[in-house]
Amino acid sequence: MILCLYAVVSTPRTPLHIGGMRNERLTVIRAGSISGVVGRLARPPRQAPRSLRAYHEAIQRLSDVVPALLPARFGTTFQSEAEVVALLRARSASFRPVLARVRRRVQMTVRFMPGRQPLPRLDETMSVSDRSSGIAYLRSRARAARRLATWEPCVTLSHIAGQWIRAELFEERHGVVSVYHLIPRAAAAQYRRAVEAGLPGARPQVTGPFPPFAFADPLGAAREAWPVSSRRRESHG
Amino acid sequence: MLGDEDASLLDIVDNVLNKGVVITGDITIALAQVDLIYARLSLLLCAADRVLPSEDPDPMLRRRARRARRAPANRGA
Repeated sequence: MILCLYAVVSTPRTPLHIGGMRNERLTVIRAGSISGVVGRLARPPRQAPRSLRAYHEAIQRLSDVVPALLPARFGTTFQSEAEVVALLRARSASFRPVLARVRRRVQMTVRFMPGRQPLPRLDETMSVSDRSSGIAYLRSRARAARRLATWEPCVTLSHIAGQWIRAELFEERHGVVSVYHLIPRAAAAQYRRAVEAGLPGARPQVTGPFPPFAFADPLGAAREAWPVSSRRRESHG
Repeated sequence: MLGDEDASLLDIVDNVLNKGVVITGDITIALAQVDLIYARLSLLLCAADRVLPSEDPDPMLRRRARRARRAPANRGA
């Protein structure tokens, strides 16, 4: 038997009655104020669409009953409870602020698809252009994300949904622009209505609410909401 | 154009795989049916920018973060 880690959560006050990806009962391993939610499996999960879907659904169910959770990477397994506790204790200082940031918040994903509707052209600096080395790639990617924030549909989106956005991320792959917003859980329906009504020409695809997959990185890949005024300065600078 | 079914698969792939996956495996080296070495391997596959710290794109927030990082060191001195 191995322990498959689903998520790091603020320690729940009541037991969980939730099934995992193979319908195993999920249990909580406590390490002070944070806990790991694990399922006992005979072998590690396979990287197959069925397993990914089941894992995603399990995280969704978990997200419905705990106020704050950080999804673990798919396939994270441990041999014993002691290993899980050691990890949680070692990294509790970095997990706690991220748990506080995602507490009672959800992720909404907005995608702008090429070919759906005429959209403003993406500047070449809005895509990753330099892959000559690892450092160059990371710099190019960070620069592209900053430039994407100044792309007209993204700026309009931030104006429309600004009141709910607590953190945001931008990404472009093969011409598809994805925007991830962390918003209060209670505002998901209002957010969707506002975005769909506010960007009728761009016809973005709005999905969610999801657990905060894009904002669960303790190392800080997720960023606080970036004011539109700063984007304009950077864009012209 | 993506249908609902494709879109939901895209979200799953995006949400679950975007931050990387962990592949685990065991290796046992044995000689004459006697296990000599056992190694458990965990391989993390993900984009480098998912495991390396990144700075905030807003210059004001960046300055604030740097000040916050310096503050505990100054207090300790």
